[in-house]
Amino acid sequence: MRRPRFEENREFYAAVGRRIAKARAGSVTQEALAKKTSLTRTSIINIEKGRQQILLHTLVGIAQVLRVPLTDLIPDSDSLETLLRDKTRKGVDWVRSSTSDLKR
Amino acid sequence: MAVRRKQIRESVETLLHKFNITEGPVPVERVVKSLGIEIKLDKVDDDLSGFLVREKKGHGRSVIGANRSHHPHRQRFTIAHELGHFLLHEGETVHLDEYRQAFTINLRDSQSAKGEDNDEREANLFAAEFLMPAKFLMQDLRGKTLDLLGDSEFLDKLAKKYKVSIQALTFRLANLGYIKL
Repeated sequence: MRRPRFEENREFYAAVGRRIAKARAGSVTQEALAKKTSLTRTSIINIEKGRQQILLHTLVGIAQVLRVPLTDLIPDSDSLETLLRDKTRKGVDWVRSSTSDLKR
Repeated sequence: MAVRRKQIRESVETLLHKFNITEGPVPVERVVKSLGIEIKLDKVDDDLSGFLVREKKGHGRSVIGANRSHHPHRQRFTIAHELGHFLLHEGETVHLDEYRQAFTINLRDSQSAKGEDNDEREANLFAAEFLMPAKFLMQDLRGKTLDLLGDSEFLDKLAKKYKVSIQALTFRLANLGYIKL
């Protein structure tokens, strides 16, 4: 049996969502972003919350609309969100806060 | 991949010899710190047990974390478990051990696909071997042919001597063939 789709890689997509929300804040509304990427506002909300696993061409489209480099929206391959993508938020937060003085 | 029993036993014996440890309780924190690994004890959610982080950049520091709200004996096991990951699974830079009751079955399935399940078993075996070395237990159990499971007072004393939980000790004794569960 597979895990529910949103459990797998959850922290990774939550990190992608946070990056999109940050890049969008103050410049484009969720409504406008939805319209320009042919998505519903619900989809944008879910993507920003990490509840929807975004497709690559959608991500490229969002980067175009927000006028940010695509790489701004993708977590680094050695970030905690990527390395611990199947763990819980509280777990990732614990590791981050407890090792904040380390250069990973 | 199967659990590397022989390599784990050898790795434990090397450590015991290096730090001149000849009886329980095994000073796990002292060994970890002597190996240059820092220990961070934090009070965090009960679902979280421990982590291992290896610094790639900077000074190449390593940190083992354990949940301070757990029983000290469990913290010892967690630290030994993370030390197992440190010594046995070098490719991994970040490792986190947590439990999610609701997803346990699925989690296990997903992890075994990536061989993570095997890593966990190896780290658990390492912790058991390190905290309760077979040679030490053999001394304690010499001449003991009684029904060990029935002798809860003896098991209790033994667990206290090694500073492990009764559960961990019982599992270890069964694993070594002293008792049948």
